[in-house]
Amino acid sequence: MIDPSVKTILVAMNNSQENRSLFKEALALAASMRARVVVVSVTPAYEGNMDRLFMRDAVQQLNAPFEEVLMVAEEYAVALGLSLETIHRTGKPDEQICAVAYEVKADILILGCAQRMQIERMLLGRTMIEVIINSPCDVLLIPEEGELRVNKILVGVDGSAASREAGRRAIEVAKSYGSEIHALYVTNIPAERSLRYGVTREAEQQGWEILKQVVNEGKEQDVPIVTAIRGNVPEECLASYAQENNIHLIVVGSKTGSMGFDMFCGSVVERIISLTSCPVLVAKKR
Amino acid sequence: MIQLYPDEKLAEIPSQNLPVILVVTRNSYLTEAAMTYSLNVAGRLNHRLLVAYINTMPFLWDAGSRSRRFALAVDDSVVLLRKCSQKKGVVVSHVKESGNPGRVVSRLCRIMKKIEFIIVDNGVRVEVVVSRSPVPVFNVDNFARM
Repeated sequence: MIDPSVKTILVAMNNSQENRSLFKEALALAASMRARVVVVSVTPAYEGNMDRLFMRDAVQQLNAPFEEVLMVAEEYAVALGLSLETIHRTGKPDEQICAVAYEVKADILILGCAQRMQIERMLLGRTMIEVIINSPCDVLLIPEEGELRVNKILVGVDGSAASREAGRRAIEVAKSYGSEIHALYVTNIPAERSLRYGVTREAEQQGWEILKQVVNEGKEQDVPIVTAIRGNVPEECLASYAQENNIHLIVVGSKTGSMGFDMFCGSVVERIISLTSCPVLVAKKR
Repeated sequence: MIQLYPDEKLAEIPSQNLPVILVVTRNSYLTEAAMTYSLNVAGRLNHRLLVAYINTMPFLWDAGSRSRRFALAVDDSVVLLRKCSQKKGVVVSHVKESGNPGRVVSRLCRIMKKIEFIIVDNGVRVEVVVSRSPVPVFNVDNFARM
């Protein structure tokens, strides 16, 4: 029986390098939230026949690295005197991860992510973005050897419902941990409009209005917010701002474009992750 | 400890509730000075020991040979440590870590709120640990020289 007052952190792991310390970060987060940690590992479904290669125990061999990951996580938690649940599944990773998230009523889902170029993402699959789209809860993406800290939070706002949700989530986190919030609006003016007179000023005025709303929401919760406007491609601006201001966590909304466009150009979240080394929290609408 | 009523048994504190002394080493084994000192202090203060063996070169390109040898050496060191700890009645646990010692210490301190102080073995730069640690840090090298 799960106590509804206890939050659940679900960690999805595979045996890759970028996931090595994922469960450790989850345990650190769980210690601050007094949450329970569930680690899931999914063996991709295999329906081929390895008998021709004289491999009788193909399924067992496929499962072994994923089960080992879970075993290492469990041993680590036991050594520290903590509890951690493990779940092993077989199937399509993104579907299974989301299914487990629904089953355990996860409050936050933690994923590891590698810094890949778009061509690599197209060839190696898009599990991360599929999970973000279908997840019932917020998704925290931790890059390779990334460290989860929340002293300085950057939130990208553009006036959309998704970005308002991101702003609210950033304020919630800041209120809990006493963090400093930076809200950034990016004037992303299309090339064909950029040469028209006064377009930039109009976009900036609109940006200040949106930022004012975020600041007011912060004031209601007694959370001070630093605001800034930049003009360029959003993901590049967010990444460069994060680097310049030593930001520890970036919060964005889970707005996705059409799947066809995303397939070839990548979603904003994927592009941010490929440019920055700090964790990214994708806020989902509750 | 002075027991007022010797006939009554003192309530034993579960080992998980004991305060923790974190011992950090990057050598895949604890030096004798670090082991003796940490066990003595833990026994005297009724603390438990958590030893973090940190592989500081996890990405070294040697087909995993270093990591395997590191893990084997840690297992040997743990056997020796357990033998010594049983004699002194100190509860000992260990974790295998990898990466920057400062980052590992910071993470362990966030996970375990009961870490009272840190003992750093030879080979680990104290300033790296001190910069990321919220608790006092002692260098065993200094004690060995005293």
